[in-house]
Amino acid sequence: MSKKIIFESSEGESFEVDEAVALECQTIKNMIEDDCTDGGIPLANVNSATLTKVIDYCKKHVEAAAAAEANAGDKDIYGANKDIELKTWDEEFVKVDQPLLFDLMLAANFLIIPGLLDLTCKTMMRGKTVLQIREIFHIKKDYTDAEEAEVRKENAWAFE
Amino acid sequence: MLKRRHGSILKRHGSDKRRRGSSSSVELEVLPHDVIELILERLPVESLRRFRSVSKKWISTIDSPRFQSRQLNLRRQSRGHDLLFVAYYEDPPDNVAQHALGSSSSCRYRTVKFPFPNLLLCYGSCDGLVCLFCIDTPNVVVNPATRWHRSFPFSSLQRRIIDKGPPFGSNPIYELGFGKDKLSGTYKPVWLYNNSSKFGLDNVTTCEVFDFSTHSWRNLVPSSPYPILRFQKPVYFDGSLYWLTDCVEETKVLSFDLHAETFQVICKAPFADDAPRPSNVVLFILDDCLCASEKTWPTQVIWSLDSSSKTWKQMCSIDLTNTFPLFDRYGLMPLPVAILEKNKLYLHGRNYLEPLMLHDLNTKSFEVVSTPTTPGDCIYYFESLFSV
Repeated sequence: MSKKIIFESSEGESFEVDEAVALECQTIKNMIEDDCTDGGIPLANVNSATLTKVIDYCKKHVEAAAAAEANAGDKDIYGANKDIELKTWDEEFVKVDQPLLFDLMLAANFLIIPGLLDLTCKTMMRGKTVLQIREIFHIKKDYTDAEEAEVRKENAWAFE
Repeated sequence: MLKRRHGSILKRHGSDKRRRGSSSSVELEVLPHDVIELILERLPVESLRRFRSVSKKWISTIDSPRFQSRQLNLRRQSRGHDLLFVAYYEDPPDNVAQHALGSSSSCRYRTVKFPFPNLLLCYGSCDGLVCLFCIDTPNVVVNPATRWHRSFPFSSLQRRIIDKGPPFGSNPIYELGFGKDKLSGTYKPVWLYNNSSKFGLDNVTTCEVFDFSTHSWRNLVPSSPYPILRFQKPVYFDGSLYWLTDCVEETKVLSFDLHAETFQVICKAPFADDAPRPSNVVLFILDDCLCASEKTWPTQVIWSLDSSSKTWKQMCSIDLTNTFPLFDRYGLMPLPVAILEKNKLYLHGRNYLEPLMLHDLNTKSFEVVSTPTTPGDCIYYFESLFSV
């Protein structure tokens, strides 16, 4: 029976997870090493909906790593098959609304889960136009039209 | 306790009034700029170039050297390096195609075209920058990801060759080195060449270093006391450039510290042949190590250098019989360009239209990754936002 770690969300809800899953979070890993996880870990900044998703992500990645180890000889020459499955799973995982995506990103930053942080940041910005970005981040255009045209010219290839 | 012990962005703006029990605890209009930087530094160069036009704040972030270094470091950590194929003799000249290596089999192809007629490429890439040169066209440093480029003028060597013609036949046998002084963070193109009697110079070699701050070449004295082996590209690694020497008794490895600007023989080359043909040996980088390889048909041996003890360790021995006739047994030996997971070796043929092959060191199998339609060089590479 593996050791369990208890997380408490901002709403006070408890989530019990295997230690191996919790170790996916560098912040928690440090706490476990310092032996200060008794009585649960309160995560005042992470709500239940976000925490559920974060735990799903960590579980999947722990399982995938274990499976990859077990099937090490099973890969194609590029070492690819399992990676593709996990990549597809990740893509599905981040098909959520923008506010939840931001919460996931902030939770990943707070708990230090580099893979999830990378995934959420990239997903958030992928395929967005400059106008969409201004809208999402509530940024006022501070370029004059001429200045903006000049910057766009420098970036010409990026708009190709 | 967690909040106290581990400071984070959340702590700073996660005040109570901002969590109103809605599904989201974040209001985007108050996202501080450090969170925005956190997102931006994880994005590919292409998106970042586009997002320069979002606002003045964003452009100043994206164009700052500190941000650019962080972006490159994160890019290095997130997935493997890319392979950049720079093609010559293309119309328009100098196509650059790019594949992504890494644990995924989906090779990403991208072609970038440059309007430069340069025919040669310095070995490797330094911070995502590549350097193109030719004997009789201006030299240029290029960032293939941003298309930023900067030309720099002919060296004395180039000017002499243009005036008097090359000393040995018509083939340019000179190779330019390109690297970075890690202490000052400046990039330096370096020519090191053996002197021939045709130029009437007394020293064994001449070394010219280009200084981007003054935009001029300067002669470095003293230059290397040893002549260098022909047809070898200087290899940049960790603040120094490396050459193989052309000595009567044995081949040595010569280093040039780009900060101190001094030459030093660091060790003997590991080759079986004391006086190898230049086409049968090569220096290169694999897996963040300076490596050397020697071909004694049908075997190609690769050694890596332990940088602290300066001793060579044999990494592998490849039987090239299976690659014949894809690689010319009499021509330049294939160049190892990358190794993944310690056993998947990418080998690129350097003779006319030879393929890029993937060799599994465990199963000994070979697979053609791509066959170029135009001659060119394959380099180990990460995209970056850097410029000089």
